[in-house]
Amino acid sequence: MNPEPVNRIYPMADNFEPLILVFCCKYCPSCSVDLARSAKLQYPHSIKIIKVSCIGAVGTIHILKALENGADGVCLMGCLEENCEYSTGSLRARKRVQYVKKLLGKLSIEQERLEMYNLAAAEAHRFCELVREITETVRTLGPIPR
Amino acid sequence: MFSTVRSILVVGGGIAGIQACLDLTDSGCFVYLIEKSAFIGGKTAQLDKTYPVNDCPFCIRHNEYIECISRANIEVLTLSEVKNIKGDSGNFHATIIQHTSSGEEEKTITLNVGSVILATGFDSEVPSYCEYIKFPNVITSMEFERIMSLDGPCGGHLIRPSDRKKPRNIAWLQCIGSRDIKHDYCSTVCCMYAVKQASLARRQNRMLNTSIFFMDMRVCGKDHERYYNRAKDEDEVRFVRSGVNSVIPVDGTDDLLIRYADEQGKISEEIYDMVVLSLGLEPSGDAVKLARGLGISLDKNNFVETGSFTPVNTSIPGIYVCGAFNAPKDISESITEAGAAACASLLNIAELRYTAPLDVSVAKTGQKPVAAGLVVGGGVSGMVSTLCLADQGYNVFLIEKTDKLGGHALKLRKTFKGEDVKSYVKELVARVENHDFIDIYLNSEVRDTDGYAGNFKSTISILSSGLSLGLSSGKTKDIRHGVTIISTGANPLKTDEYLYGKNPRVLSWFRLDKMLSEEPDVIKKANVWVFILCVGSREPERPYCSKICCSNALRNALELKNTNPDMEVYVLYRDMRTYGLTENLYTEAREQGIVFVRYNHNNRPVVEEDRDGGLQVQILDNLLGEHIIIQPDFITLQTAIVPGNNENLGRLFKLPVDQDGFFKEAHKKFKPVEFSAKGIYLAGLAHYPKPVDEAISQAQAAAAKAVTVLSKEHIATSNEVASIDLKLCVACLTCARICTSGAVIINGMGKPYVEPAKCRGCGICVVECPVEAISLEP
Repeated sequence: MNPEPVNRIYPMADNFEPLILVFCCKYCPSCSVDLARSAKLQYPHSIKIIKVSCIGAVGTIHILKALENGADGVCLMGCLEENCEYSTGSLRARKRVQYVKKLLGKLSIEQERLEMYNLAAAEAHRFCELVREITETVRTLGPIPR
Repeated sequence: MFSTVRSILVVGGGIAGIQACLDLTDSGCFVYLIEKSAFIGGKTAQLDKTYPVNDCPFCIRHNEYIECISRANIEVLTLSEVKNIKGDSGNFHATIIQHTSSGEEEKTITLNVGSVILATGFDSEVPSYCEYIKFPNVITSMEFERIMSLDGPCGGHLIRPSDRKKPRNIAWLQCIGSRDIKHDYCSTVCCMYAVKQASLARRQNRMLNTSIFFMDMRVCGKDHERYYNRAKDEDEVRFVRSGVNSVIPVDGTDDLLIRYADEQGKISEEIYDMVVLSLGLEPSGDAVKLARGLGISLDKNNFVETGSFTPVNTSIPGIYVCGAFNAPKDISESITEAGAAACASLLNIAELRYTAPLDVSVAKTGQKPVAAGLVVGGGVSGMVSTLCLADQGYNVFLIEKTDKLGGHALKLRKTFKGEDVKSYVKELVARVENHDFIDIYLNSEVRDTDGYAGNFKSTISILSSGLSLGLSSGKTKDIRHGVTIISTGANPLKTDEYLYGKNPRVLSWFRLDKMLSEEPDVIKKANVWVFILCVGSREPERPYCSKICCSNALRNALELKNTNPDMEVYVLYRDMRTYGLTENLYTEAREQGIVFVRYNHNNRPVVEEDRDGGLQVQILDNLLGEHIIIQPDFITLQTAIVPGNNENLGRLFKLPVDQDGFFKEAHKKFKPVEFSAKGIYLAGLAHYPKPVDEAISQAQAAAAKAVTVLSKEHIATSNEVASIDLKLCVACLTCARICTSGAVIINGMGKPYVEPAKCRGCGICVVECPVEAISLEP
C-alpha cells in the first residue's frame, strides 16, 4: 500500500510540471477513470493514479509519505458519500483529509496541495476537470518546499 | 465453446439479462448472453438517477457489467439475434445470427442449451396521436434523462434543445402510450420517473417551475409514496390532475401552450418552455416476432402470458421470461424476476449441474458450505423458496410460528388473473409435507442464530404442544445451515374506522372473499355495495401504499357484479392504482357500470348508522363539487397491510428494519432480495406488500441467490482479507467498532479475530489500527 518513492529530476521553475498523486477508490472513481481513458479524454499526463480498495483505507501516513517522497500534490477520489460500498469509507476519508490539512498548515505547506473529491461512476468529464484544476492550483504554488 | 446441455441461453443484455447471467454463473452454469446492440447494459445504463434513492445506476451496477463481460463462464454475443429455437426443454438448439457493426449478417451459430431466458426488455415509441413530438422542445422522457445525465450531451446542465437556454418552466405529460385504446395497461414506472425528473430538475434550479399533468398518481412501490410526498412538499413540484387536450406552439417563440381540462372540466391554458412526454413501455418488436415464431402465447398487449403461480414460465416448458417483456415493471422488480427465471431454469437442468460444477469463486477458505437452508415463515413465499431449494437437492428447515402452513394466502380467493388461490396453496402444502428433503417445524420459532454465509448455527424452539418431528413443547433443537431466507409475511391492519367492528355490515376484504365463495345468497339479495379504498394506507402514520388493495377491490367488485348484475357498486378511491396489467380490471369495471368516486385525504367519506342499523355514506364528489349520499347494504374496507413483528426478528438476525417496519434490503433498487449481510435473503410480504405473483417471483429469486452460496465447493471470501497480528494487538477494539461488515469478532481472550468469510477487504481497519497490527492479505 505504501507509495513507492518517486525519483524525479526537478525541472526548471518556468516549465514546472507538478506531480499529483491521485488515490482512487476501486469502485466509482476508478470507473470514471476507465471511462475517461476509453473515451480518450485529455487530462494532465503528470498525475499518477493509485487504485485502493476503499478511499477510507488511505491513511494519514500515506498522504504525508507521498508529499515527502516527491509528490507536489495529493488528491483523494472517493465514491459519493451515500454510495460508499463500505458505508463509511468516504466520510472517514473526508475527515482524515481535514485533519491532514491542519497538519500541513502547521508544517507551513499550502493546504491546497491536498484535495478530496466525491465522484460518481459516470463522471469522466468531471474527473478530467478536477485533475486539471488541482494540477493548475499546484502549478501556481510551485514545487513542494523540501 | 461449451457444447454441453449444462449451458443456458439468455436473450437480452439489459438489467434483467445481466442479473440472470450472474445468478446462473454464480451457481455453476455456463451462460450465453445474446444482445442485439453492440453493448450490454440496456436502458438502465442510460439513466441519470434511479428512484426512490436518487442513486446513479451506473455507480452501483458497473461492477456487474464488468463482471458479466469478463467472467469465464459467460459468453457474451453482441450484435446478435436469435433466429430460431428448436428442440425440447433440456435440449434446445438455438440459431443465432451475428452481425457486423455495419449491420450485415456475418455468421450463423448454433448453440445447444438446456433452458432459455427471454429478457428482451421494452421499447418506448411515441404513439401516432402525439404529432407534437415534432416541435423541438417537446422531448421524450429518455431524452430528458440524457439531458440531465452527467455523461450526457449537455454534461448534466438542464437546457432546452431549440436554443440551448435554461428553461423557466417544464411540463410532464403522463400516460403517453399507456392506458389508451391500443395499450390497455399501465406502464407502472412513468409516474415515478416523472416525479423523479421533476424533483431533480427543481433541485438543480430552484427558480424552475415544474408541473406534472396526470390522471392517477401510481406510486405504489416501496418508499415511492414517501418520494412523491417529498417532491410535492419539499421540492414543490406542481401536480395537476387533468386531461391534456392539446399542445400548441406559440407563434414567434419556441414555447408551447398546453390546453387542459381539470377535474371539474374547466379548460385552462398554460405556456411552457419545454414539454416532456412520459412514454410508456411496450414489448420490443423483435422480441414479439421471436416469441410468435417460437409459439409462445402472448396476451392482447403482446406481453408474454404467464400464470400468477408460475410468474416466469412461458407456455413452452424450458423457456422462461423476465423483466419488462413479462409485464411493464421497474428495475427492482426486473432484477427480482431475473433471479426467479434463473431459479426456474436451474431447476430444469439441476441434475446435470451436479455432474461437474464449475467453481467461479476466486479466493476461498478451505471450508465447505453446509448444504442446507433455513426458511423462516411458512406462507406461500416461504414454501416456494423451500421447494426451489429442496428440488435442487438441499435440505431445508422450514420454521412456521402457527400450527399450519399457508399463511394469509389461505384466506384469499382469487388472484388478479382469476386463478384459484386456495387449491394452489393446498397443492403447495402437500408437496412441502411430502418432500424428503424438507423438515417442517410448526409452532416454532428461531431462538438464536450465529455464523456467516455458508455456515450458520441456529436454535429452534418449539412453542406449544403441536408436535412436529417428535419434539415436544419447550424443547429446543440446534441446526446448522448455509443460508437463511426470511419470509415472515405481513398482516392486514385491524382498523376501527368507518364503523368497522361496530356494524356487522362493514366488512374487511378477507371477509368479502369468504362471503363470495360461501354465501352467494347474501350477495344476490344486496342492492348497493360500497368499497372504501386506502383505509389506513397513505396516512401520516403509515405513509406507504399497500399496493394490492385497488386491484383486489376491483376484482371483488367485478365478481359481485357477476353474481348479481343489478347491484349498484360504488368504489370510493383516492388514486386508482391498478398498475401494470391489472389496468384491464379498471377498464372492465368501468364497462360494467361500477361507479368510481374520488375523495381527497382531507375530505374522507363519512359512514353513519341510522336507527334501524342501516348504513349511510356521505362523500364529496370532486366532479360535481357536491356531497352525495349512498345508502349501501354492505361496505367493504380495503385495509392496509402492516408488517409483522419484524423488529424482534431483525434484532435476532442482525437485520435492519425500515421506518415502516418492513425489512430493509441491501439496496432498494438493485438488490431487492438480499440483505447487506451475506447469506441471508428476503422474500414475500416481509419486504413490502405485494400480490401473489410478485411474492412468488421474489421467493424464487431468493432461492436462486441461496443456491449461489450452497452450490460452491468452498465458502467464498473477498479477494483480500484483513488479518490481525495478535503479537502487536493491544486489544483497543477500534477495529471491532469501525468494521461495517461485522467481521471482527472478540474471542474469549478479549482479543479481536477477523472472520474471513465475512470480511469484504475494504482495508479501513488497516488504517485505523493505532498499532498497525492489521494487514490485508490475499
